[in-house]
Parts: sequence; structure tokens; C-alpha cells
Amino acid sequence: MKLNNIFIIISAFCLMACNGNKSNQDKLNINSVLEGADGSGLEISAESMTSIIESIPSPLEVAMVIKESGNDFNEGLLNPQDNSRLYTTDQEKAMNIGIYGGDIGYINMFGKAYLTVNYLTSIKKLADAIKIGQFFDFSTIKRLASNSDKMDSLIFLTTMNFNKMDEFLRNQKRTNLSILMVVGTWTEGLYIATQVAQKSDNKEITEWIGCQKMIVDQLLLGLSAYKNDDYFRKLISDMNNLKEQYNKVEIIYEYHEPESQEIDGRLVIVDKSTSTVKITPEQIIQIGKIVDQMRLRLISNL
Amino acid sequence: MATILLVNKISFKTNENDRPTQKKICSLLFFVLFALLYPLGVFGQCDNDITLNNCASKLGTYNFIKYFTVGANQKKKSNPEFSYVFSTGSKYIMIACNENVVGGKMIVSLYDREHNLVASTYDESTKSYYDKLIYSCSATGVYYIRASFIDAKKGCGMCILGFDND
Repeated sequence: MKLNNIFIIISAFCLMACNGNKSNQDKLNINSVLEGADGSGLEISAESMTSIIESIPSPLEVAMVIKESGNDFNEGLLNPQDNSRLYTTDQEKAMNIGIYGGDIGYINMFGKAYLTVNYLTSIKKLADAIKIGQFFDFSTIKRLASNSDKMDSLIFLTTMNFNKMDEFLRNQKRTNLSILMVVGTWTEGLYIATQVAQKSDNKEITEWIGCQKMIVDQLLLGLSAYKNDDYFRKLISDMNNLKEQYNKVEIIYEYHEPESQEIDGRLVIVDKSTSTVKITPEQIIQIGKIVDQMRLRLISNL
Repeated sequence: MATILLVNKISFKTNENDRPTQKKICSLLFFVLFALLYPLGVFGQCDNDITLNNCASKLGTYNFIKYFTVGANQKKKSNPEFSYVFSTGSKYIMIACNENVVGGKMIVSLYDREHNLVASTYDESTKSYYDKLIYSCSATGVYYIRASFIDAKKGCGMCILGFDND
């Protein structure tokens, strides 16, 4: 009798366990179907798409290069806040969340906290519309923005908000919007950099622009998964124009063994490899023109 | 809960001669429960928010870029890998954070575009472990950050990536 009871319990658990496994399998199958179905272009696995999206450099990096070059902040380079009312489709909203995200990186790096709250308000409005606005803690953002000593925390919080929005979209299998956000952020960074580079001859900014050659390829690969969609097709066409210009830019890479040393309990690696960028002022102008036209179309909804 | 009560009820009725059987049954039940709860992540839950807050405070003057989580319930790869484009002239910091009660310490290893190992937070030969890795980049390109655990143990961890100008 005792054994019978135990066997009934075990059998019940085993049945539940089997059922659990089955539902996991179902989930995996549904996931693979969704992966295949959310774009009828080139098939890219969710894992590869995540890898592409996560590898794109933060907009803060180019903003720091610009700041360190001694150039002043130029508010005229930002996408005007009023433009946020122009964006009606989910794709336009995602793209311009990204573009405003690029602006936020530039704004924050120059410590213009008064603009941070305004721009985050526009981002939040667009994010709410595509159901990813829940990651913004506005009371904390406002508190941090009112104190210039808290700029580091503000940068951390806004970057986190963007990371979480992006992660959420991918978990929700809305990777098409995630890649648009990333393209928007990157485009804005490249736009600001090319505008600054054309007015001030700075080696670091010029090199940064040249190095974006490898990002163009990465983004084109990500976008190609959705190439049958009209919005994506136009974007791919613009990116191909950029790629054509970037084909003239040469990057020479030389590998050398890195050196490591321990400093204050931290492992510090000194890279001995080098990458040399060969880009002419004319190529900077041409890349600047293409990215300017592409961005204008995206922010003005032309 | 119902199972535990039932086991208690059964054990009240057992005598000395039943002990070996009772032990076997308890062991069996333990394994069944483990098999059931393991896929649910009960034994390997990672609280990312707590880890992130603790970990981010170690950034110092570096600017936060992003975080990568490595969980006991990581579905695909045992040693997950993340990629990021590093830029010449920037200094990157990778911070390995563990919230493991039982798992091994998390190792963060950096590989270049050709998957040459650039550095790792753990040196197997000297058994030296560092929780921070700083890398001054002089060759722009895709770099790969791979996470694993000492002695190939499983665990929860997070890697935070930050940057500063060189």
C-alpha cells in the first residue's frame, strides 16, 4: 500500500516532467518557426542577430572622441524634438528612438543635462507607442539631471534604459525593431562625426569615421534579414551607397602579440596590434553627404 | 509540500525493518524532485538586477557600455561568447562579477578578430585570478568576450563592459 502510494506520486511527477519537457520542445519549435518567419529575406538565426546588434559600438564612444578633440557641443546637429510627432509607424518610431539615442549620447557626454530630460521625454513618447516605455524611471532621471555632479549616473541610467529596451524587443521576437534602433543610433553618431570632421581636421575623428567600414557590413547583414519589407529595402539601398564609398577606404591590420601586466590588482593589457586607416578628406565629404541624405530622409519621414 | 506531508505520514507507520526501503524511496523522491525542479531554474537562478548594481559600482571612471549575463540556465552554449567592436584609442574595462553560492568564479577571456586569445582574467598555470581586465585598443575590430567558470563549474555571472579614452 505504501509502495503503491509512492509509485502514484512518482508517476504523477514523471508525467508532469514529461509534459514540461514537451512544452519546452514546443517552445523551441515555435521559436525556430518565428525566427524563420519574422523576415522573409536572408535567414539569420536569433543568436547571430543578437551578436550583430550587441557588437555595434555605443554612441558614447564617438561622442567622447569628439569631446576629446576639443570641439564644442553643437545643438544644431541634433534631431529636433518636435520631429517626434512625425513618426507614425512602429518602424519609424524604432528608428527615431535610435536616432534620439545617438543624440542623448552626444548630449550626455558634453554634460548638457538640461537637454537630456527633454530628449528622453521624446524618446519615452515613442517608446510607449511601441510598448517599450516601461524601462524609463523619469523621477530618477529628472533628479540626476538637476545635479551636474550626477552626470555619470545619468549616463549609466540612460544607457541601461536603451540596453533594456533592446533586450526586451529581442526577447519579444521583435528583432526587426531592435535592429532599426541600432541603425538609428549608429547613423546619428556617424552623422555628427562627419559634420564635425568637415569643420575641424582631427585625426581621431577621421580614423573613427574610417573604421565604421566594418560596421556598415555588420548592419547590412542584419538588415538583409528583412529585405522584403519596403522600409528596410530603402534603408538597405542607403546603406549600400555608404558601403560603396567605404569600399574606397583601406584598413590595414597587423597582428602582434599583446603584453600584459598587473597594476593595482587589475590585469592591464597593452595591445601591440595596429590598424591603419587610409581615408582622404574627399572620402569624408562623400560619406558625410550620403549619411546626411539618409538621416534627413529618416528624421523627416520623406 | 503535499509530497513532504505524505512522506512524513508514511514514515510514521514504518518500523525498523522498513528503514532500507524507506531510504531508497527518499533517495528516489529526491532525484525525482531534483529532475523536476532543475529545468525550472530553482537551483540556478541569477538575480541580474542585484548583480548589475553591485558590478556597475566597480566601473570607477569608466563609462558603462553594456552588460552580458551568464546564467546557470544559459540555454545554448556552455561558454557563451559576446562580440563588440573595439576602437583604436579607447581603453576598455571588462569586469567579471559573480553572485555564486556554489558555482566557480567566472572567467572573462578576450579574443581578437581571428580568435587569438588576447587576455583572460584567470591564469591556469599560476592560478591567478583578476576580476577586472583593462585593454588599451590600438587596432579597431570585432573582439570576442567569452565567459566560463573556473574548473568548468556552472554558475551565475555578469560581465560589464566600459570604456574610457586612452
